[in-house]
Amino acid sequence: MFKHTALKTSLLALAVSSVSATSLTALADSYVIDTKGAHASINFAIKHLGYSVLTGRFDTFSGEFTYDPAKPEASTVNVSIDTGSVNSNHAERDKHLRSGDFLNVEKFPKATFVSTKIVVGDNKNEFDIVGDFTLNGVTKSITIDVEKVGEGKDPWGGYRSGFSGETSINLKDFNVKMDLGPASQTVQLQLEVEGIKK
Amino acid sequence: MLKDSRSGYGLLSIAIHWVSAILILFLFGLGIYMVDLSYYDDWYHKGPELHISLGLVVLMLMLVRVVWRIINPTPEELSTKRTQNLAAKFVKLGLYACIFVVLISGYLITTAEGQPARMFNLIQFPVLTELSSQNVDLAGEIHEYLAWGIVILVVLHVAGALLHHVVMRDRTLVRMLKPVKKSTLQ
Repeated sequence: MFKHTALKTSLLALAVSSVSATSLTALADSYVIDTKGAHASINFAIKHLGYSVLTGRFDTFSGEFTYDPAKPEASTVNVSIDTGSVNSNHAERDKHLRSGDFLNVEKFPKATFVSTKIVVGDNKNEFDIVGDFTLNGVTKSITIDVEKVGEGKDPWGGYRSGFSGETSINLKDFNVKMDLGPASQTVQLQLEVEGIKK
Repeated sequence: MLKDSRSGYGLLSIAIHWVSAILILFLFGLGIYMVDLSYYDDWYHKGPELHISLGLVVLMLMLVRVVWRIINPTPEELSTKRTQNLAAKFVKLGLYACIFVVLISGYLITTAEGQPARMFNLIQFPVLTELSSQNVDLAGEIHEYLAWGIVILVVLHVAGALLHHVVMRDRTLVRMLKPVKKSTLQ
Protein backbone atom coordinates (compact mmCIF):
# COMPACT_ATOMS: atom_id res chain seq x y z
CA MET A 1 0.00 0.00 0.00
CA PHE A 2 2.71 2.37 1.07
CA LYS A 3 4.72 1.33 -1.86
CA HIS A 4 1.83 2.05 -4.15
CA THR A 5 1.43 5.58 -2.81
CA ALA A 6 5.12 6.21 -3.21
CA LEU A 7 4.90 5.16 -6.80
CA LYS A 8 1.92 7.40 -7.32
CA THR A 9 3.77 10.33 -5.79
CA SER A 10 6.82 9.83 -7.86
CA LEU A 11 4.72 9.51 -10.98
CA LEU A 12 2.99 12.74 -10.09
CA ALA A 13 6.34 14.40 -9.48
CA LEU A 14 7.57 13.16 -12.79
CA ALA A 15 4.47 14.44 -14.50
CA VAL A 16 4.78 17.85 -12.84
CA SER A 17 8.47 18.13 -13.59
CA SER A 18 7.96 17.16 -17.21
CA VAL A 19 5.19 19.71 -17.57
CA SER A 20 7.34 22.45 -16.11
CA ALA A 21 10.26 21.32 -18.21
CA THR A 22 8.08 21.66 -21.28
CA SER A 23 6.93 25.13 -20.36
CA LEU A 24 10.43 26.23 -19.44
CA THR A 25 11.89 25.13 -22.71
CA ALA A 26 8.66 26.23 -24.43
CA LEU A 27 10.12 26.97 -27.80
CA ALA A 28 7.65 28.21 -30.35
CA ASP A 29 6.44 25.52 -32.67
CA SER A 30 8.03 25.21 -36.07
CA TYR A 31 5.84 25.21 -39.10
CA VAL A 32 6.44 24.59 -42.75
CA ILE A 33 4.35 26.66 -45.11
CA ASP A 34 1.93 24.41 -46.95
CA THR A 35 2.98 25.18 -50.48
CA LYS A 36 2.73 21.49 -51.32
CA GLY A 37 -1.01 21.53 -50.72
CA ALA A 38 -1.14 25.09 -52.06
CA HIS A 39 -2.71 26.52 -48.93
CA ALA A 40 -0.56 29.55 -49.28
CA SER A 41 -0.16 32.20 -51.91
CA ILE A 42 1.90 35.27 -52.64
CA ASN A 43 -0.27 37.68 -54.57
CA PHE A 44 0.43 41.10 -55.93
CA ALA A 45 -1.72 43.92 -57.14
CA ILE A 46 -0.75 47.06 -58.99
CA LYS A 47 -2.79 49.82 -60.50
CA HIS A 48 -2.99 49.82 -64.26
CA LEU A 49 -2.72 53.42 -65.47
CA GLY A 50 -4.62 54.39 -62.34
CA TYR A 51 -7.86 53.07 -63.85
CA SER A 52 -7.98 49.51 -62.58
CA VAL A 53 -6.05 46.96 -60.57
CA LEU A 54 -4.02 44.19 -62.10
CA THR A 55 -3.34 41.12 -59.98
CA GLY A 56 -0.92 38.27 -60.23
CA ARG A 57 1.06 35.94 -58.06
CA PHE A 58 4.24 33.96 -57.62
CA ASP A 59 3.41 30.33 -58.21
CA THR A 60 6.51 28.83 -56.61
CA PHE A 61 7.89 29.60 -53.19
CA SER A 62 8.71 27.86 -49.95
CA GLY A 63 9.06 28.90 -46.35
CA GLU A 64 8.97 28.14 -42.68
CA PHE A 65 7.95 29.95 -39.56
CA THR A 66 7.95 29.52 -35.84
CA TYR A 67 4.98 30.62 -33.84
CA ASP A 68 3.82 30.46 -30.26
CA PRO A 69 0.38 31.97 -29.71
CA ALA A 70 1.41 32.92 -26.18
CA LYS A 71 4.46 34.77 -27.40
CA PRO A 72 3.82 35.95 -30.96
CA GLU A 73 6.63 38.50 -30.64
CA ALA A 74 9.12 35.62 -30.56
CA SER A 75 7.96 34.31 -33.93
CA THR A 76 10.21 34.10 -36.93
CA VAL A 77 9.49 33.65 -40.61
CA ASN A 78 11.57 32.86 -43.60
CA VAL A 79 10.33 32.69 -47.18
CA SER A 80 12.05 32.14 -50.50
CA ILE A 81 10.28 32.95 -53.76
CA ASP A 82 11.14 31.78 -57.28
CA THR A 83 10.86 35.05 -59.14
CA GLY A 84 10.60 33.15 -62.43
CA SER A 85 7.23 31.81 -61.30
CA VAL A 86 5.61 35.23 -61.64
CA ASN A 87 2.19 34.70 -63.16
CA SER A 88 -0.19 37.41 -64.28
CA ASN A 89 -2.12 35.13 -66.63
CA HIS A 90 -0.55 36.62 -69.75
CA ALA A 91 2.48 34.86 -71.26
CA GLU A 92 3.98 37.87 -73.00
CA ARG A 93 3.56 40.15 -69.99
CA ASP A 94 5.05 37.48 -67.73
CA LYS A 95 7.98 37.20 -70.12
CA HIS A 96 8.40 40.95 -69.77
CA LEU A 97 8.10 40.74 -65.98
CA ARG A 98 10.89 38.14 -65.90
CA SER A 99 13.15 40.29 -68.07
CA GLY A 100 15.67 42.95 -67.11
CA ASP A 101 12.93 45.58 -67.28
CA PHE A 102 11.39 44.18 -64.09
CA LEU A 103 12.60 41.21 -62.05
CA ASN A 104 15.85 40.16 -63.76
CA VAL A 105 14.94 36.56 -63.12
CA GLU A 106 18.03 35.17 -64.80
CA LYS A 107 20.32 37.19 -62.55
CA PHE A 108 18.16 37.12 -59.42
CA PRO A 109 16.13 33.90 -59.48
CA LYS A 110 15.18 34.16 -55.79
CA ALA A 111 13.46 36.76 -53.70
CA THR A 112 13.64 36.22 -49.97
CA PHE A 113 12.06 37.50 -46.83
CA VAL A 114 13.68 36.99 -43.43
CA SER A 115 11.95 38.42 -40.37
CA THR A 116 13.97 40.51 -37.99
CA LYS A 117 11.37 41.69 -35.48
CA ILE A 118 7.73 41.15 -34.59
CA VAL A 119 5.75 44.01 -33.12
CA VAL A 120 2.58 42.85 -31.38
CA GLY A 121 -0.26 45.21 -30.71
CA ASP A 122 -2.95 45.07 -28.04
CA ASN A 123 -4.65 42.32 -29.93
CA LYS A 124 -2.32 39.34 -29.91
CA ASN A 125 -3.76 38.14 -33.20
CA GLU A 126 -2.55 41.17 -35.08
CA PHE A 127 1.07 42.09 -35.46
CA ASP A 128 3.66 43.65 -37.70
CA ILE A 129 6.41 41.49 -39.06
CA VAL A 130 9.50 43.52 -39.83
CA GLY A 131 12.05 41.84 -42.01
CA ASP A 132 14.57 42.03 -44.80
CA PHE A 133 13.05 41.60 -48.22
CA THR A 134 15.43 40.89 -51.07
CA LEU A 135 14.12 41.38 -54.58
CA ASN A 136 15.96 42.06 -57.82
CA GLY A 137 19.21 42.01 -55.87
CA VAL A 138 18.14 44.79 -53.50
CA THR A 139 17.58 44.17 -49.79
CA LYS A 140 15.31 46.50 -47.86
CA SER A 141 13.50 46.33 -44.59
CA ILE A 142 9.73 46.06 -45.02
CA THR A 143 6.88 45.73 -42.58
CA ILE A 144 4.10 43.24 -43.17
CA ASP A 145 0.78 43.86 -41.50
CA VAL A 146 -0.35 40.43 -40.31
CA GLU A 147 -3.57 39.10 -39.00
CA LYS A 148 -3.92 35.59 -37.65
CA VAL A 149 -6.73 33.69 -39.30
CA GLY A 150 -6.84 30.64 -37.09
CA GLU A 151 -5.13 27.53 -35.82
CA GLY A 152 -5.99 24.03 -34.73
CA LYS A 153 -5.93 20.38 -35.58
CA ASP A 154 -6.62 19.39 -39.13
CA PRO A 155 -8.78 16.33 -39.91
CA TRP A 156 -5.75 14.24 -40.94
CA GLY A 157 -3.72 14.20 -37.75
CA GLY A 158 -1.75 17.38 -38.26
CA TYR A 159 -1.83 20.83 -36.73
CA ARG A 160 -2.07 24.01 -38.70
CA SER A 161 -2.07 27.73 -38.20
CA GLY A 162 -2.66 30.41 -40.76
CA PHE A 163 -2.19 34.11 -41.31
CA SER A 164 -2.99 36.84 -43.78
CA GLY A 165 -0.48 39.56 -44.42
CA GLU A 166 -0.29 42.75 -46.40
CA THR A 167 2.45 45.11 -47.35
CA SER A 168 3.40 47.35 -50.20
CA ILE A 169 6.67 48.03 -51.91
CA ASN A 170 7.91 50.74 -54.16
CA LEU A 171 9.13 49.39 -57.49
CA LYS A 172 11.87 52.00 -57.68
CA ASP A 173 13.20 50.93 -54.27
CA PHE A 174 13.95 47.55 -55.74
CA ASN A 175 15.63 48.86 -58.86
CA VAL A 176 12.80 47.98 -61.22
CA LYS A 177 13.81 49.68 -64.45
CA MET A 178 10.45 49.91 -66.18
CA ASP A 179 8.33 52.90 -65.32
CA LEU A 180 4.64 52.06 -65.43
CA GLY A 181 3.50 55.59 -64.77
CA PRO A 182 2.68 57.74 -61.75
CA ALA A 183 -0.26 55.63 -60.60
CA SER A 184 1.74 52.42 -60.70
CA GLN A 185 4.78 53.06 -58.56
CA THR A 186 3.82 50.77 -55.72
CA VAL A 187 2.81 47.13 -55.64
CA GLN A 188 0.56 45.73 -52.96
CA LEU A 189 1.62 42.32 -51.76
CA GLN A 190 -1.00 40.14 -50.22
CA LEU A 191 0.10 36.98 -48.49
CA GLU A 192 -1.93 34.02 -47.44
CA VAL A 193 0.01 31.54 -45.37
CA GLU A 194 -0.94 28.25 -43.81
CA GLY A 195 1.71 26.38 -41.85
CA ILE A 196 1.75 22.71 -40.90
CA LYS A 197 3.41 22.03 -37.58
CA LYS A 198 6.58 20.00 -37.99
CA MET B 1 6.12 34.62 -116.72
CA LEU B 2 4.77 33.50 -113.36
CA LYS B 3 6.73 30.27 -113.05
CA ASP B 4 10.43 29.71 -112.51
CA SER B 5 12.57 27.93 -115.06
CA ARG B 6 16.16 26.67 -115.25
CA SER B 7 17.28 30.02 -116.59
CA GLY B 8 15.56 32.39 -114.22
CA TYR B 9 12.84 33.28 -111.76
CA GLY B 10 9.19 33.93 -112.55
CA LEU B 11 7.17 36.86 -111.29
CA LEU B 12 5.80 35.09 -108.23
CA SER B 13 9.24 34.11 -106.89
CA ILE B 14 10.58 37.59 -107.54
CA ALA B 15 7.62 39.24 -105.84
CA ILE B 16 7.83 36.97 -102.81
CA HIS B 17 11.59 37.49 -102.61
CA TRP B 18 11.43 41.27 -102.51
CA VAL B 19 8.27 41.61 -100.44
CA SER B 20 9.61 39.24 -97.79
CA ALA B 21 13.02 40.94 -97.90
CA ILE B 22 11.43 44.30 -97.16
CA LEU B 23 9.11 42.86 -94.52
CA ILE B 24 11.85 40.91 -92.76
CA LEU B 25 14.18 43.90 -92.53
CA PHE B 26 11.29 46.09 -91.38
CA LEU B 27 10.33 43.49 -88.77
CA PHE B 28 13.89 43.43 -87.51
CA GLY B 29 13.95 47.19 -87.07
CA LEU B 30 10.50 47.23 -85.52
CA GLY B 31 11.48 44.44 -83.13
CA ILE B 32 14.56 46.31 -81.94
CA TYR B 33 12.56 49.53 -81.64
CA MET B 34 9.47 48.23 -79.90
CA VAL B 35 11.14 46.36 -77.02
CA ASP B 36 12.51 49.58 -75.58
CA LEU B 37 9.36 51.68 -75.83
CA SER B 38 8.15 53.28 -72.65
CA TYR B 39 4.81 52.17 -71.26
CA TYR B 40 3.09 55.40 -72.25
CA ASP B 41 4.33 55.38 -75.82
CA ASP B 42 1.71 55.34 -78.59
CA TRP B 43 3.46 52.35 -80.10
CA TYR B 44 3.69 50.29 -76.92
CA HIS B 45 0.82 48.08 -78.10
CA LYS B 46 0.69 48.99 -81.78
CA GLY B 47 4.33 47.98 -82.31
CA PRO B 48 4.00 44.39 -81.13
CA GLU B 49 0.61 43.99 -82.85
CA LEU B 50 2.08 45.13 -86.16
CA HIS B 51 5.16 42.97 -85.57
CA ILE B 52 3.00 39.88 -85.01
CA SER B 53 0.71 40.65 -87.96
CA LEU B 54 3.58 41.19 -90.41
CA GLY B 55 5.40 38.18 -89.01
CA LEU B 56 2.36 36.08 -89.87
CA VAL B 57 2.34 37.59 -93.37
CA VAL B 58 5.97 36.54 -93.77
CA LEU B 59 5.11 33.07 -92.49
CA MET B 60 2.42 32.74 -95.17
CA LEU B 61 4.79 34.04 -97.85
CA MET B 62 7.50 31.62 -96.77
CA LEU B 63 5.15 28.66 -96.90
CA VAL B 64 4.01 29.63 -100.41
CA ARG B 65 7.62 30.16 -101.35
CA VAL B 66 8.77 26.72 -100.24
CA VAL B 67 5.89 25.02 -102.03
CA TRP B 68 6.55 27.13 -105.13
CA ARG B 69 10.26 26.26 -105.00
CA ILE B 70 9.47 22.55 -104.80
CA ILE B 71 6.99 22.47 -107.68
CA ASN B 72 9.14 24.68 -109.94
CA PRO B 73 12.49 24.00 -111.52
CA THR B 74 15.33 25.64 -109.59
CA PRO B 75 17.23 28.19 -111.69
CA GLU B 76 20.73 27.00 -112.47
CA GLU B 77 23.74 28.18 -110.52
CA LEU B 78 25.68 30.86 -112.31
CA SER B 79 29.14 30.68 -110.86
CA THR B 80 31.72 28.52 -112.55
CA LYS B 81 33.33 27.78 -109.22
CA ARG B 82 31.80 24.97 -107.23
CA THR B 83 32.77 26.52 -103.87
CA GLN B 84 31.02 29.77 -104.77
CA ASN B 85 27.85 27.96 -105.71
CA LEU B 86 28.08 25.98 -102.49
CA ALA B 87 28.60 29.14 -100.44
CA ALA B 88 25.61 30.80 -102.09
CA LYS B 89 23.48 27.75 -101.44
CA PHE B 90 24.66 27.54 -97.82
CA VAL B 91 23.71 31.18 -97.20
CA LYS B 92 20.30 30.69 -98.83
CA LEU B 93 19.55 27.56 -96.83
CA GLY B 94 20.77 29.33 -93.69
CA LEU B 95 18.40 32.20 -94.41
CA TYR B 96 15.47 29.86 -94.92
CA ALA B 97 16.30 27.99 -91.70
CA CYS B 98 16.79 31.14 -89.60
CA ILE B 99 13.65 32.77 -90.97
CA PHE B 100 11.54 29.73 -90.19
CA VAL B 101 12.94 29.32 -86.68
CA VAL B 102 12.43 33.02 -85.95
CA LEU B 103 8.87 32.82 -87.29
CA ILE B 104 8.06 29.70 -85.29
CA SER B 105 9.59 31.01 -82.04
CA GLY B 106 7.66 34.26 -82.43
CA TYR B 107 4.47 32.35 -83.10
CA LEU B 108 4.94 30.18 -80.00
CA ILE B 109 5.62 33.18 -77.74
CA THR B 110 2.49 34.91 -79.06
CA THR B 111 0.28 31.90 -78.47
CA ALA B 112 1.87 30.74 -75.21
CA GLU B 113 -1.07 31.76 -73.05
CA GLY B 114 -3.58 29.93 -75.22
CA GLN B 115 -4.68 33.02 -77.15
CA PRO B 116 -4.62 32.84 -80.94
CA ALA B 117 -2.13 34.91 -82.93
CA ARG B 118 -3.90 37.69 -84.81
CA MET B 119 -3.01 38.99 -88.25
CA PHE B 120 -4.46 42.52 -88.38
CA ASN B 121 -7.61 41.28 -86.66
CA LEU B 122 -8.43 39.55 -89.95
CA ILE B 123 -7.19 36.04 -89.44
CA GLN B 124 -6.65 34.15 -86.20
CA PHE B 125 -3.92 31.54 -86.14
CA PRO B 126 -4.46 28.61 -83.80
CA VAL B 127 -2.58 27.82 -80.62
CA LEU B 128 -0.40 24.80 -81.38
CA THR B 129 1.18 24.46 -77.96
CA GLU B 130 1.30 26.49 -74.77
CA LEU B 131 4.94 26.93 -73.81
CA SER B 132 6.03 26.95 -70.19
CA SER B 133 7.57 30.17 -68.89
CA GLN B 134 11.13 28.80 -69.19
CA ASN B 135 10.45 27.84 -72.79
CA VAL B 136 8.90 31.23 -73.54
CA ASP B 137 12.13 32.84 -72.36
CA LEU B 138 14.18 30.37 -74.40
CA ALA B 139 12.02 31.06 -77.47
CA GLY B 140 12.57 34.77 -76.88
CA GLU B 141 16.34 34.34 -76.89
CA ILE B 142 16.25 32.17 -80.00
CA HIS B 143 14.00 34.75 -81.68
CA GLU B 144 16.39 37.58 -80.92
CA TYR B 145 19.69 35.84 -81.71
CA LEU B 146 18.50 34.23 -84.93
CA ALA B 147 17.00 37.54 -86.05
CA TRP B 148 20.55 38.88 -85.85
CA GLY B 149 21.61 35.73 -87.71
CA ILE B 150 19.20 36.63 -90.50
CA VAL B 151 20.68 40.11 -90.75
CA ILE B 152 24.22 38.71 -90.98
CA LEU B 153 23.17 36.22 -93.66
CA VAL B 154 21.34 38.99 -95.55
CA VAL B 155 24.58 40.97 -95.60
CA LEU B 156 26.41 37.94 -97.04
CA HIS B 157 23.57 37.32 -99.51
CA VAL B 158 23.64 40.94 -100.72
CA ALA B 159 27.43 40.92 -100.89
CA GLY B 160 27.28 37.78 -103.03
CA ALA B 161 24.67 39.30 -105.33
CA LEU B 162 26.75 42.46 -105.78
CA LEU B 163 29.87 40.40 -106.36
CA HIS B 164 28.10 38.57 -109.17
CA HIS B 165 26.75 41.77 -110.64
CA VAL B 166 29.80 44.02 -110.42
CA VAL B 167 32.80 41.70 -110.45
CA MET B 168 31.66 38.59 -112.33
CA ARG B 169 29.17 40.54 -114.41
CA ASP B 170 26.65 37.71 -114.67
CA ARG B 171 22.84 37.71 -114.49
CA THR B 172 22.49 36.65 -110.83
CA LEU B 173 21.07 39.96 -109.63
CA VAL B 174 19.27 40.81 -112.86
CA ARG B 175 17.31 37.58 -112.91
CA MET B 176 15.93 38.38 -109.42
CA LEU B 177 14.65 41.67 -110.88
CA LYS B 178 13.39 40.67 -114.33
CA PRO B 179 11.03 37.72 -114.59
CA VAL B 180 12.10 35.02 -117.01
CA LYS B 181 10.19 35.36 -120.31
CA LYS B 182 8.67 31.99 -120.97
CA SER B 183 9.77 28.89 -119.20
CA THR B 184 9.01 26.61 -122.17
CA LEU B 185 11.41 28.47 -124.46
CA GLN B 186 14.49 28.00 -122.28
